[in-house]
Amino acid sequence: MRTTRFEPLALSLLLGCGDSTLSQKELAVVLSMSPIPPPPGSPTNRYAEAPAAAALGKDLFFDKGLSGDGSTACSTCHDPARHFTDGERVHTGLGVGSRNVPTIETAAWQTWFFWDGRADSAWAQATGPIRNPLEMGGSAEGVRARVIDAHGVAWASAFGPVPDDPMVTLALAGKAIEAFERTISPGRSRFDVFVEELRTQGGSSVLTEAEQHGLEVFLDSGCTNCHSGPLFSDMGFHNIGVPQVPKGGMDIGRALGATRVQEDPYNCLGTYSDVAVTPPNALTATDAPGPKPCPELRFLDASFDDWPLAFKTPTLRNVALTAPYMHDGSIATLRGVVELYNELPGTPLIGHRELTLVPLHLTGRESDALVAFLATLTEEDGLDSSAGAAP
Amino acid sequence: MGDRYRLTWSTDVSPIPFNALFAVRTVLRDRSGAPIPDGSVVVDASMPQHGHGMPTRPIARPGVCSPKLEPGAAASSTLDCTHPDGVYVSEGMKFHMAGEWVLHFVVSGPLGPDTADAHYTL
Ligand code: HEC
Ligand code: HEC
Ligand SMILES: [Cu+2]
Repeated sequence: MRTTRFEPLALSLLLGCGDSTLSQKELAVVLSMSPIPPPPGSPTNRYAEAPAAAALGKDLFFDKGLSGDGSTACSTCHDPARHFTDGERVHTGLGVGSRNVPTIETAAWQTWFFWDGRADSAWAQATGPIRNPLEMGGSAEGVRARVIDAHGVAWASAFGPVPDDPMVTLALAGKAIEAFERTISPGRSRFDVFVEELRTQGGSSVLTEAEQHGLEVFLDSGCTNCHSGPLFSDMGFHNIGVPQVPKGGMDIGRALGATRVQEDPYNCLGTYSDVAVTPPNALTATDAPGPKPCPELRFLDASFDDWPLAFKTPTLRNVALTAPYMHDGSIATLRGVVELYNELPGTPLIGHRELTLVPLHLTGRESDALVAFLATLTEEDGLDSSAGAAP
Repeated sequence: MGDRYRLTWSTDVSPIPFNALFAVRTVLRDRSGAPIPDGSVVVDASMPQHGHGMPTRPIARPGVCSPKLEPGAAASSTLDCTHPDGVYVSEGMKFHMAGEWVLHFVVSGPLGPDTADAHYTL
């Protein structure tokens, strides 16, 4: 049995020849990847922690009645049985889109939503697919009518009367959905047990030899430059040069998403946000200390040079169960993803591939080990809490 | 830096955090060490080895401002701002990648324009 240890002196006598040791620096990185901390607050949504809103949000998430023709719910594409993905290359709702369905398990921890980050909160995000003609084909008015018809009791206990303004109603529906999404998490994996044992016992043999080797490959290959922290994502946007097969136009990713989030009426600085935005004109501000609202949005540089073809770093938690991969679902297997990093084929059509990326040229054994490691991030015992079951 | 000014800088969070917003506080002095309250300091940063800057656009705090009432002008249009003790603050910096960063300071003030660079490894 292979054991990974880190205390170089005290435990060195116990090491057999197949064992691994982590340097102090590697250890710090590994410890930073588990456990998943509680999610940060959601300042734009005053109902984010309200149980009544979460209960309503769960009903809404599974309700096909929010779609234009009653055929499609959030859960149609974000299937709890598949870690809230759909197993398809690109999504199919009322029409066929061009992007792969991401999981929603990490929604509570994210700063930007969608592959291009065109929403800056989970509730603002939720208002998108409802109105997207290719997804649910609904409308703010339709949502207002539906909640009055079908969710009256749950709505009243969450929010009181249904507002007259459909845009306000839609924002509240989004806030309820966010409250529900905040009850979901990627769940505890064997990797989390491994890190816990490293932390408490100074060593662990929970992972197989190949999996521990894969962890070393992961650390040595610079994967943590982007897939960092407990969610294995820096929440940032990078152009890794996934070869695009443009159908009806190139998908420029963050270059468009950054502008769209600034223009979104549902963004952090908008009137539907629960953040108190003062003063409206930054020029009249003085140097008075204290937090100012919406820093991520206010300081965003929408014309940053590296945005063209940049997409959000996806979480790697439960990644073994969420094929296919990448923003366009163009890679079918994890081994295929590793081949991309091995070869870095082609040149991006615009912009440039992130300069830190170099072809890894891993051996077959190293590539397999890396895939084995990624599978240790899979949740152990089915879905968390009540989130999985349709009502 | 040219030799017109003396500039010292620090950050509100130290060491500089990975992938999180922080602010830079610059103190601007003349060569005798006297603080300069009526200049401006614009801070930016880049990773020369990667050929890119920050994903954010920092904003310099205006300082302590009072409306300046020009005859006939709208009261809100002109502001008179100073930086007591020569302290200038830029918010919204973000080092989104680990590696070599260079902070760029662009100074203007009574002694003319000047620039300075500072290296930082994250
Ligand atoms: C027709 C399929 C479909 C439906 C229905 C759908 N989604 Fe999605 N969802 C997607 C796709 C595809 C994306 C990525 C789109 C993009 O990046 O442009 C996405 C993105 C998301 C994200 C962002 C995840 C991330 O990491 O950025 C969340 C959260 C989400 N959806 C929640 C919802 C909710 C809530 C609903 C119901 C109101 C919903 N979705 C309905 C397909 C769907
Ligand atoms: C420069 C940042 C960066 C580095 C380094 C990086 N990734 Fe990624 N990774 C991304 C981005 C961005 C995407 C999504 C790209 C897209 O969809 O176009 C991605 C996608 C993935 C996916 C697909 C996940 C999904 O749900 O679609 C996997 C798996 C993955 N990376 C694993 C790795 C491994 C293993 C390494 C190290 C060999 C690595 N990455 C290195 C940024 C990075
Ligand atoms: Cu860089």
